[in-house]
Amino acid sequence: MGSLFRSEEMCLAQLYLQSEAAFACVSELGELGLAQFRDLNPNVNAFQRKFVNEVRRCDEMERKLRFLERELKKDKIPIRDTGDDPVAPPPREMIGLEAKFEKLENEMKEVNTNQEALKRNFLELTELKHILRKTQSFFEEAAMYHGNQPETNQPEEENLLVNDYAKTPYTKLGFVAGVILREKVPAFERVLWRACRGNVFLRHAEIETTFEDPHTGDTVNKCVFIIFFQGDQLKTRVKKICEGFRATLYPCPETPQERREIAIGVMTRIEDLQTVLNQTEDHRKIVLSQVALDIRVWFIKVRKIKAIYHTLNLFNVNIAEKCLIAECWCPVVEIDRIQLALRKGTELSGSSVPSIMQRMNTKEAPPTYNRTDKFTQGFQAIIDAFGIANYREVNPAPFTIITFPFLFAVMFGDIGHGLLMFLFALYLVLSEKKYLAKKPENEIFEMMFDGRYLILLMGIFSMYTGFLYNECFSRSINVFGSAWNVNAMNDSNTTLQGSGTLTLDPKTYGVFRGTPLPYPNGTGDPYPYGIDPIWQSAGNKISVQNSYKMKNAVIMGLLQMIFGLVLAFYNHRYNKDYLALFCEWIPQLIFLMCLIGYLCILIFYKWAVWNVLNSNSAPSLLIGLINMFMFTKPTWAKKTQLYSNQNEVQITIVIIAILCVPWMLLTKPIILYLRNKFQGTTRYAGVRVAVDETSDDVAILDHDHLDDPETASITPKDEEEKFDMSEVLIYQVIHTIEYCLSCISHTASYLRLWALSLAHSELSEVLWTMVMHSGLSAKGILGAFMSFVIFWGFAGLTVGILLVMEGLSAFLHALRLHWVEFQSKFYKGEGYLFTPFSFSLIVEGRVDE
Amino acid sequence: MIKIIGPKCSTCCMLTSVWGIIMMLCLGGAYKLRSPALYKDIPIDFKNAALASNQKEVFAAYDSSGTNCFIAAGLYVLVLFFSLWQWKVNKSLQTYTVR
Repeated sequence: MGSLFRSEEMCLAQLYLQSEAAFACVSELGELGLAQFRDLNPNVNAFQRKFVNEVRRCDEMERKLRFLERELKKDKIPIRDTGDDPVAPPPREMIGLEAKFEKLENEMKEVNTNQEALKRNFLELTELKHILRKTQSFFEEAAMYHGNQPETNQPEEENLLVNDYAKTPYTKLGFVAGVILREKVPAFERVLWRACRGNVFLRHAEIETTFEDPHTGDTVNKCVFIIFFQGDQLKTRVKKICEGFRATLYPCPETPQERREIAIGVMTRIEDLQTVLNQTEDHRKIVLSQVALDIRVWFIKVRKIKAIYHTLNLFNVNIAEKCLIAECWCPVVEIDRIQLALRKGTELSGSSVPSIMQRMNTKEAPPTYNRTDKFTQGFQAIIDAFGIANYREVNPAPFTIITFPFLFAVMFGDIGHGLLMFLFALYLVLSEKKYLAKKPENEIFEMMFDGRYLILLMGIFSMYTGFLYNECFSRSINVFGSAWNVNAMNDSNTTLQGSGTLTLDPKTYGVFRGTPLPYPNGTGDPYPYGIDPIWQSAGNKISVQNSYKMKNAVIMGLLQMIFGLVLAFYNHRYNKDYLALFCEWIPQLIFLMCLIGYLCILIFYKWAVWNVLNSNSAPSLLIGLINMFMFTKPTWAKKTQLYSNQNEVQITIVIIAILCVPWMLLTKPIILYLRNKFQGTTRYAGVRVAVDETSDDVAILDHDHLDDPETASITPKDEEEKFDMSEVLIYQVIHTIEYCLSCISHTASYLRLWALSLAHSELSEVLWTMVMHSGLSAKGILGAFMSFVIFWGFAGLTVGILLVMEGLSAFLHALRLHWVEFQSKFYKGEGYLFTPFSFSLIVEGRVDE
Repeated sequence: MIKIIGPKCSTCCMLTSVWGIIMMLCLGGAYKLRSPALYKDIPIDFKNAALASNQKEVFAAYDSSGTNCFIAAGLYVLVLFFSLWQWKVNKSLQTYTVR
C-alpha cells in the first residue's frame, strides 16, 4: 500500500535545545518544514512569554518594511524578485537590520515631508500665477469698458451719469481674489449673495490645468474667483465666507504694473522651485530604487525571525539547565532528517552540547499527514473539505482521482463540451509554471487553477462518456456504421410520403443487424461501442436512453457503495476491530447485496436473456422488486416471472436480509456487555505523559520516568471509559437504522447520475435546435452570414450555460455522491491536519502567525 | 497600428474564431457528406411532403447549407486575422507602457 492509501505514521517527540542553539535549530527545522510544535504553555498569556520583546521588534521592523513597500507602490517602482530564499539571520544581525530600516524610514519620512512642503509652496505659487493671469482679464474688461466711455457720442447728462455710475464705484471698490475648489463654486456664490444681500460682485473662471493635492496626491480642479465689494464691513464678511469655504485668498495688487512685477517674480520663483522639486524627486527615486532591490529579501528575513521567536515562545524554558524543551509531532520516517537538522543547527550556533531528540509515548491521536504533490493535492483537497481523515484511516483521495471525474462525466457526457473543458485545463497545466511563479489575483481563477488536473481528467472522461452516449454538441457521429437499415423495411412510396414518423421494426428481416437468429444472414453485430447514432433521429430516443441510463446509475451506485464497504474492511482490519468486522461489516454487506445486489443481478439477467423477439413480454424490474418484499408470487402468466423457482429464491433473500438487521443491531452490544462483565476494566490504564502542566519540573520528571509504567499510570489524565450499556445500545440502534435506510436512499440518490445526464443532453439539444438550427437552416447566401453571427451566440451560451453552469452542477452532484454516498460507508473524517512549522508557508503569507 | 479592441476582447475573439473555423469546417464537411444527423437542419419545407421526399431537393438543400458553412468558416478566418492583429497591437502597447 502506497503512502497515499493511509496517512503518514506520526510520533510525538521531545526536543531538548540548548538556549544558545535553540534559534539556529528552530531555523533549520523551519527550512525543513516537517515538525508541528505543540504549545507547552497554553495558560501563559501572549504578553508574558519569554521572547515577546523580540517578536515586538520584528513587528516594528515589518511595519517599517510595509511603509517602504507602500511608498514603492505609490511610485510604481517594481520590486526586484530574484527568487532566492535567504536563511534566517542569527539574532545578532537583528540590530543591524533594525538600524538599517530605522535609517531608511527616517530618510523616507524626511523626504516626504520636504516634498510635501515644497509641493504646497509650488501649489500656492501656481495658484497665484493663475489668479494674476485670470484677474488680468477681469480688470482688462473693466478697463476697456472704462476706456470706451469717452468715445461714445452721447448727451452730456447721460455721459455724466454713466461716468458717475461706472467711475465712482470703480475707484472705491475693494476686492479680494483667490482660488476655490470647482465643485464648491455654486454654493459659494449663493452663500455670498445671500449673506451680503446681493451687494457683492463675484466673477470666477475655471483653471484649465488640474492641480495635485500635496497631502493626498489626488488631482483636483480649481477656479479663480474675484469678489468686488464696497466697504470694510462687507470685506470682513466676505473674508469669513471665503475662510468657511476653504478658499485660499491671495494678495492681488490693484495697478497693472504691480501685477506684472509680481507675476514676473512668481514665474522665477516657480522655476526655482521646480528645479528643487525635481531634485527631491530624484533623491526619493534613488532611495526607493535601492530599497526595491533588497526589500523582498528583508521581508523574508524578518518574517523568518518572527516565526522562529513565535515558535520559541511555545517552548518550555528550563532556567536551571539552561535549555528549552519542545514537543513536536513529526512523521516517523523523517526523524533522521530532523535529527540531522538539529545537529546542523547546533553546529552553526557553535554550541558544545548537542540537542537531544527523544520519542514519547502518548495516547493522544496524532495529526493526519497525507503527502501530496501538485497532481494529487487537488483531489486531497476535495476529501479534506469534507473532513480530515482520522489518523491512519483509509484515505479515499487516490480512488477519487478516477471515480470523481468518472461520475462527473456520466452526468456531463458530450464529446464537444468535454473537449473544450479538456483544452482549457490543458492550457492551465501547460502554463502552470507561469501561474505558479505569479499567483493569479482572481479568486475564481485561482480555484480553477488549483483544480487544473481534476478539470483535465473531467474533460477526458467527459469525452469518453460523450463517445458512449454518442453526442457531440448533441449531434451523433456515425463512427462504425449504424446497425440499422431503413431500406429493409420495404415501405412503399405512399407510406413514406404520407406519415411523419415510421416504425423501424427490428423483428423484420435485415432491419437490425443485432437481431438474433431465426433468420439466415440476419446476424451480425449491433453498433460495437456506445449508442447507435440512429437513435438521434428516433422519436423514442429519450425513453430508450432513460431506461439504459437509469439501470447504469443503479449499477454504478452499487459498485461504489460496495467499494466503500471494502475500504471499511481495510479500516477494521487495520484497527484489529474484529468485533465490528463480524458484527457490523458482514451483515452490512449481506444486507446491501440482498437488496440492491439482487436488483443489479436481475438487471444483467434481463439484458442478457430478453431480446427483440420477446421484449414485449419482459417483466418490470421495479414492480418485481416491490412484489418481492410483499411476498407476491411472480408468475409467467402475469408476465412478472423472470426465471423458474424465482419465488423461493426471493423469499430466502428477503429472510436473510431481515435476519441481518438484528445481527447488526444486537450482537455487538451484547458481546461488549458480556466482555465488560467478565474482564473488568484494568486494561484501560494507559500511559500518559503530562504535557499540559506548565511548570518545568513536571515535564522533566515525566521525561525521567517515561518508561516506568507506575509513574506514568498515576498521571492525572487517564482516559478511563465507563461502560454504559444504554449508550452503546442507542449508538448501535441509530447506526443500524441509518445504514438500512441509507441502502435504499443512497441507491435512489445515485439516480441523479441519470437525471443530470438527461438534463445535460436535453439542454444541449435545445441549444442546438433553438440557436444553431436557425442559422444553419436559413436559405441562400443569407444563411452563411446568419450562421456566422449565430455561432457567436451558440459559443457564448455553450460556454456560459453548458460548460460553466451545467459543469458546476454536475461537479456538485459528483461531490455529494462522494461525500455522502461513498464516504459514509467507511470514512469518519474526525482527525486534524498536520500543520508543520515551515518557512515556505509563512513567507508566502499563507499562514497567519 | 491602431487599437480597436482591448486585449481581453481580442483574445476572446481569437479563441471563438478558431473554434468557429474548426466547427464550421466540420459542419460543412458533414453537410457535403449528407449526414443524416443534420437532416433537421437543412433549409427545406418539411410540411411539403413532396418536396421533402424528393431526393434532388434534399441534396440541394444539403449542398447549400454546406456551402454556407464554408463561407461562415471563411468569415471566421477574417475574424481570426483581425483579432490576431489586434492582439499583437495590444501586446506591443503593453510592453511600451511597462518599460
